[in-house]
Amino acid sequence: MSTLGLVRELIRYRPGRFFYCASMWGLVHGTPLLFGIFIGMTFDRLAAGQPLAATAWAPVIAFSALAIGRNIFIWLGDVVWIAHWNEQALQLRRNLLGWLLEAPGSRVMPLAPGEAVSTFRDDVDDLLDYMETWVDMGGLVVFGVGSVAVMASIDAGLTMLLLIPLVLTVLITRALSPQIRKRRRAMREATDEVTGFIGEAFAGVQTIKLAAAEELMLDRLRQLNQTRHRAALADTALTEVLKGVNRNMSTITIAIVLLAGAGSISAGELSIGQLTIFLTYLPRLTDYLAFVGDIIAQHRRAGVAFERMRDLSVDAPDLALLDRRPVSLEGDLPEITLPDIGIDPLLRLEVRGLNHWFPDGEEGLEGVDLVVNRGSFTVVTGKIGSGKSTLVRALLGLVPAQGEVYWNGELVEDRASFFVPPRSAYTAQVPRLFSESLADNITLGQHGATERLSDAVKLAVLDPDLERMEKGIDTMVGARGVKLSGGQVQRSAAARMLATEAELLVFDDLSSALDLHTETELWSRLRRRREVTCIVVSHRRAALERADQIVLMDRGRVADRGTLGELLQRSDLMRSLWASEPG
Amino acid sequence: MAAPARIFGAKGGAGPIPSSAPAMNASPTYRATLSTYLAPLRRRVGVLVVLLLGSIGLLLVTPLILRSFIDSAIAGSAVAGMVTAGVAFLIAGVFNQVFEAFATYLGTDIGWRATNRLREDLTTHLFGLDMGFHNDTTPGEMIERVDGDVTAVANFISRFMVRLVAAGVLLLGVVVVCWLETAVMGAAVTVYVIGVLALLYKLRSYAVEAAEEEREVSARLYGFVEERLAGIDDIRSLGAGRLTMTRFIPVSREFFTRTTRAWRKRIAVWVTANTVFWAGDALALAIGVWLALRGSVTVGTAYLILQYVQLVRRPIEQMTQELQEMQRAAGGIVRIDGLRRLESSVGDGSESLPSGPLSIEFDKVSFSYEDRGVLDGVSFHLAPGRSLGLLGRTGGGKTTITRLISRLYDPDRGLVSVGGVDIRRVRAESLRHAVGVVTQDVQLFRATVRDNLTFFGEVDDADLLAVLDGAGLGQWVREVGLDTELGSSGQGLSAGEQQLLAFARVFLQDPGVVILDEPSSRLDPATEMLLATATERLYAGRTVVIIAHRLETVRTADDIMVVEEGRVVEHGPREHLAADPSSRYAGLLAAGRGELLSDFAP
Repeated sequence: MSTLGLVRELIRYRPGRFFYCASMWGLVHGTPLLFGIFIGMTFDRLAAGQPLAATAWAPVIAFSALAIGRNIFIWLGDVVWIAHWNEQALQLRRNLLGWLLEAPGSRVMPLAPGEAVSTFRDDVDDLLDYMETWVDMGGLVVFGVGSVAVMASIDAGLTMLLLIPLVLTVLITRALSPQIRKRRRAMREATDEVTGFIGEAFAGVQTIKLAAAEELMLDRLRQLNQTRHRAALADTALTEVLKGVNRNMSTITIAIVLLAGAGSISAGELSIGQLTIFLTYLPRLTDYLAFVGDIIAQHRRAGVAFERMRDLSVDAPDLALLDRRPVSLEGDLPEITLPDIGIDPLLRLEVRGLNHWFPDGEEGLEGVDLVVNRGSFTVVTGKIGSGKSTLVRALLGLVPAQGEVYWNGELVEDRASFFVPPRSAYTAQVPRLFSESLADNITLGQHGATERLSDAVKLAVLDPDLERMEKGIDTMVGARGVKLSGGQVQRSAAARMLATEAELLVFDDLSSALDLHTETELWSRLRRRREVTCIVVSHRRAALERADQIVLMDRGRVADRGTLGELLQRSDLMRSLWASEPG
Repeated sequence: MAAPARIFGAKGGAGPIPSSAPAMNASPTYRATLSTYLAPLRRRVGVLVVLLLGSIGLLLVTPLILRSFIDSAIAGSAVAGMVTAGVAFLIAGVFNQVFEAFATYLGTDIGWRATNRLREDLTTHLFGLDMGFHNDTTPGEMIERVDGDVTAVANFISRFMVRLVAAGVLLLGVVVVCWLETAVMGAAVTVYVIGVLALLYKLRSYAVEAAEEEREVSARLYGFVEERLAGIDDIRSLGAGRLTMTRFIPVSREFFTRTTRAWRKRIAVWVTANTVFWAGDALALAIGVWLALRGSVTVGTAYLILQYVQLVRRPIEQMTQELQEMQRAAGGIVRIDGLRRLESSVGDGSESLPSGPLSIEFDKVSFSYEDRGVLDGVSFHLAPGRSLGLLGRTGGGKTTITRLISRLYDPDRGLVSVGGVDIRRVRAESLRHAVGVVTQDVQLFRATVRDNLTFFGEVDDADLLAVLDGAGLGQWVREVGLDTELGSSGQGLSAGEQQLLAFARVFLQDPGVVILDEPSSRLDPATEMLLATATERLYAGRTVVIIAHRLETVRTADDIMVVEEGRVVEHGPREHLAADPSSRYAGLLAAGRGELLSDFAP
């Protein structure tokens, strides 16, 4: 979609509001035309001397009334525009987040979460800032055309002469404004470097003290400070140049009027009032033209902003990102309607020819086949980088992969939306919690999860931790769960998975969360309670010993599969992995 | 920061950071701080003042030029005089702009020069404070102090001088010129300027509150988004997308309501100011007309009044805005002064330690944290070149013993000696060069592997790799790549590799004493093997203290010491203890089979 198409689409959300705001701002930008005329009338009458001078009060009163009235238009326009702006910003953000979290299909977000947030914040803002330009546009045209027409009617030749510096203003702003943004960005980056470094240095202050590295770290800070100092100067310099050029253009236009008009005034062809009209219009006109010079840059920036939103969503169609469904701003929260997934108990899961390439073209998985039967315990093992995690993530549709997966013999079309509770549940190697209560984190809105909460907590061996927390299960875990230890985060994530009562449980390496004792206990408790099918990524003996089948991964392929006994007998790789595990 | 470090909390002389922001004149050191950092920049400041005065003078002259133009036009004087006025207008306008631009540039330069030095001095000072202070503050707070507050000071310097003073001088100039014209004009402009300043200053705080509220809600909204994006796999695989989007609704509603309210407040302030300014224009026009009709001023002067009233708009806006900023900066300076007055509870000595393996001795050492005893009369001696395995339950005092050796804290009673010297007499830098530490949690920086190894120091790559080859880590570092960028929580390296990096750092330091806190989490076999080789080489020719979580780790230690509840309950050569079936160590050996010790501690 072209940027103009984008503008059209965004206006369509609430065209009535958009045009209301545009007309208010049309009035706001248009009224200064009359200010010039009233001031002109005042001074013409004054200069004419008595008795006409006594009538100079009339335009003064008109000026006063209009000056106050104009502020009412500003207020009327802005009150609506502010609400509109914020509403539309939320709508765009909701569309993007909703797509990433809910749309069918597998995709890998191209940015780290921290960087992605800047698309949510800055790119959406850029897009709407550009829309604001469109709200102003009508008024700008009214004043621009109107003021030039009034000036030309006074002195066409002089007005032609003034067009040269005015056009220059547009061109110079157009050339410089992208440069200014570039320098401002450089300045922001330099600032981020400094603050990031200070944060890290104080997070690691013990390490720095122990290594007696204070001086070295300080040198680094000095370097980063200098970079920022230079960036700040570059930014200031260019901004001042642009500001200077525009103000000087305004000075130059007025000087042209004074110099070229001196003759006409003394010849009586140009009145004092007409002179003041020029003096009133010209500074405002240069300002507006500088704004026009920036529009082209803004247009480009809006296009880039939308491009970035599209990139972040990976595969969202434009209209999904511009979805006009209103955001819910008041009333009750909508009921959460989870799709009712009919229970089709897992009897047999089959994976055929699973292939996955990492973005750099390096191969992640190659032709992996796997069969998992109901109630079995499958352990995926191998060295670091052998493709263990990739295998389970590809199977569940968390990363795009070629190949087929069959659930009870039926081909799964969209793995990402298929492998959810109550069919399956998954705990990542580095699971994430959200800044809510521990209970909310564990139940995560699943049907009936609240009833299973205490059970899940026990199964995941989280109960001893809860006893030590003052608020127990209602503890707020902080952003990303920072208030919990790494082990507690993993145990909470395991509880979250167990609370779903899914048919298939996929664990990606629990080893740093649970000591051997607890891990063994977890497996047998789980076994005892219900018939559960597990796929577990692990290299621990506790898991390997209990496996019905071990899948030994090596460089993205299945090197071997079988029971522990079989593999220990025939595989060097298995033997070396086994030997390096204690116990 | 390692989780165990938190148990120490606040200790020592460093109190909490003063967070109140009293009025700017409350602190006598306020002016001292400014003059310390501005004095070396005296000449630049002088040039700045000249530029500003020049620019202000030209600004004041411009309306006078226009008046003379208008008056001579009405009087029908010669065109030549009017042309001169036109040229003068052009020159005054252009030079005013040029002076102002240079002044802004110079102000920015002075601000950054002064405050970058302040940032560096403050960081040096904070590095010197004890761990009690650091455990009590978050890195976020430190960013706020070292950068946030200092930046406010930078703005204060550049703004105070460039804008506030300039705006003040300009306003004063306009008032004086108007008084010189006629008393009516002077009185009217004076009342107007003072009235509008007072009104806007009051209104401004209303807008500032709104802006703060807005920052808060947007932090919440983007925090929500960032957290969910980080957990996108968890959400999708648990089918929690719908739920998350429903949770997004209350967050967005709050964002909407409060942002909209904040913006409206801001617009209300702006519209009010705008109304006042336009009313000022109308008033100026009226006064001009009135005076001109009475014949007490010329038509040109009537226009001059309008010009001057329009001229004061910008400085009035700047003054009200900068006065608010100034208060914030004043708060920053007070907080910075507070920090600079803090002193470390751990002092510094003057002696240096020799290189090579050194002995370690504890003599009746006791240490407590907030009235809770952590160590109680611990004494032991470790001869140079020997290795000591520390065993015992978590929280028993093992980590504290190692922290006292590197003098992150001083004991309450007793004496800690390294190489036979009381460590309080040793320079901290010398002690820490002599004692190398590998902690459980490895602190990495968002930088290249090379910078992470050398702490951003300049070391020749060949020298670097030569040392690492000696440690058996050269191959590994080459494979990872010296130029590879790491994330701050170690993105790009596995837990085991982070340990390897920490080992490499200690090899580069080449200390005579090594303290090793063994990682409790599992490492993958390949890394484990590299680590074993590196450990063996690290032990050679050094005195070693290991905090062990697995019995396997201390199988090669010369001595074993078991610490329970802050006391040494068993200490002796490992072989003796292993052979004595009644010893705790032998008991552990029989029961443990290499499992994690925390589960089986006696």
